[in-house]
Amino acid sequence: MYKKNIIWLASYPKSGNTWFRVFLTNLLFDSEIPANINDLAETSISSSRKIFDEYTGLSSSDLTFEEIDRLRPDVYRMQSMESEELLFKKVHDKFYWIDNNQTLFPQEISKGAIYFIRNPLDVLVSFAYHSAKPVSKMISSLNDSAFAFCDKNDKLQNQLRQILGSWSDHVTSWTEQSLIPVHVMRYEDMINHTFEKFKEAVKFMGIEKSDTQIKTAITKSDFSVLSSQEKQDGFKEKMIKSKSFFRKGKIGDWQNHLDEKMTNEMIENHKTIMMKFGYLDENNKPIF
Amino acid sequence: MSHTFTYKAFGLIFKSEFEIPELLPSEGIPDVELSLGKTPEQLNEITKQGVKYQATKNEFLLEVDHIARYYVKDGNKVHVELLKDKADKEVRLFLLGSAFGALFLQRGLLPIHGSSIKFGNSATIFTGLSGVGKSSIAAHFVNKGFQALADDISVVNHNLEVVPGFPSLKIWNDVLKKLEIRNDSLMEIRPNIKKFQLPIHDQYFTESLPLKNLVILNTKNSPGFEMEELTGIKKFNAIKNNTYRYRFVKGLEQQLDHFQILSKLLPKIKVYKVARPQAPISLIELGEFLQKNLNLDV
Repeated sequence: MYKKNIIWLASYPKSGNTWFRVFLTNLLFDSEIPANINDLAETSISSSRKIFDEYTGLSSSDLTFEEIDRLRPDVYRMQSMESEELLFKKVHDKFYWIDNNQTLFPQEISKGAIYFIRNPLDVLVSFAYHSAKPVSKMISSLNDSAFAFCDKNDKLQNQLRQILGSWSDHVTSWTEQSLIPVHVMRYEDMINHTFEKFKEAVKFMGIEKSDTQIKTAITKSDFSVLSSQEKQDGFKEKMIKSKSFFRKGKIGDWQNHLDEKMTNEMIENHKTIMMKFGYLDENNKPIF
Repeated sequence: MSHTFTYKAFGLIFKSEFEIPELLPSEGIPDVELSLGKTPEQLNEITKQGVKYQATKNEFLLEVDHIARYYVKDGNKVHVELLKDKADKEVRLFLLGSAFGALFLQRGLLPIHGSSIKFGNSATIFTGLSGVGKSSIAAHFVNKGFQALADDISVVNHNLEVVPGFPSLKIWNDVLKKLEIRNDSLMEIRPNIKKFQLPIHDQYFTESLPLKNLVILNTKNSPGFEMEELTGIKKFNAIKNNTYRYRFVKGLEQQLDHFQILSKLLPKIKVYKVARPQAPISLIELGEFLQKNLNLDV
């Protein structure tokens, strides 16, 4: 009875997820002018408190994190059931099993997941900038297996709790699970081979669009467009402390910000996964 | 059951088989009866369904795992089936929340998701998304000596008045700290959730008051406050979207009643959208901004 109509757009933060969401919006709506970055649907955020409260009929602020986790799969099932179309949901949670033998993201409604991965050295620099935190502190977060968003229990935070784990945990959780088909997109490939990589993703999602339509959507989602939109009207997904959300998006910017000690600490912590996804060569030297 | 309890809340007289210390004792002919016992497990002819609730034209059933099942019928009966040993604060929390929300909608009332404070001889409701500071700003005003009528659910009756709910606010620990209120003697709403029941005693206003302003709070990721008065369809949608558990309305087939009360209310009130910087929330600055720009005074 379930429809497999949800596509999870999953990533550790600062890995190209929002860029792809803007592309997708442009591709699907195909309007004359580029889609507004502030019009990305609220329903598309899987940790939305509003959606959870509406669908459960309960106030998430009256529930424990564990109770919320146990109900989240049903919220997605209901959204899936009510929709005749493909649903795209942005996810920062890692992929995990909740205590009563089910995964947070249910297999039976999932058409697939696109997993965005980016050189963790660049993620580190970008994430530190966006959280207005020192790089040294951010290194600990990327290495913290209990790292989570919105996990304080003495105040109400704007989204549901999201467990991310360490950067390596996060990548492993999504790319090594076998319940939901997953298509991995490296941020560096998205930058260097935009059309080919975006086309592959479109094909993976089973969306019928011509090369021209894909190319047009890419142009409308160009970094310069997003950045100038943000300069003009702001972007609601930006954190208050950071100056801008669309900052540089460059490959290898870490070289301007990390000293040798920081670089080595990161490589030491994430060597296996970095190697696996082509971020380190055989001598453990960064490739990008 | 030999002993029953009678309370007044939200302008209604409740007769209950179990004690609800959150509500004010009263007497009179009951409008609503609260009882304990088996509820249906499933409703027939469901018009709207959520993850944890079902609704038909005149019935509503909500289940909170390991706590209770709530069956609300005809706007005058609430039946509670305990899924734990007694009707404790956790059972009452969801009764006074979602179950009462459905009850009000069944009665054709307009429950707004937010707190209300008495300014002059009228009420102002603070509404908005979860986490935006609806209860916090109420606590701030109460702390400054104003009186509150309700927290979380503010009910507007057919005379377009806000009716008093019950005399406490639910406040998170970080806000208590900001307001320099100690939590030692306060009760947590549930174990492991650092949100507390804050009794407001004398600063609870017990009479209905005409609704004057509806303030929709929201956040923005830049400094400073912004205010916009909403008109036309935006004004209508703002009230509709901030109706408590709006998704229940459709199930209870109350769209017409809901629409009528909204249409009557619209010309009588002002609706403002007020944006505050995301974090940290400064209640003093927000309070001053609201008081100054909306002329809110004793």
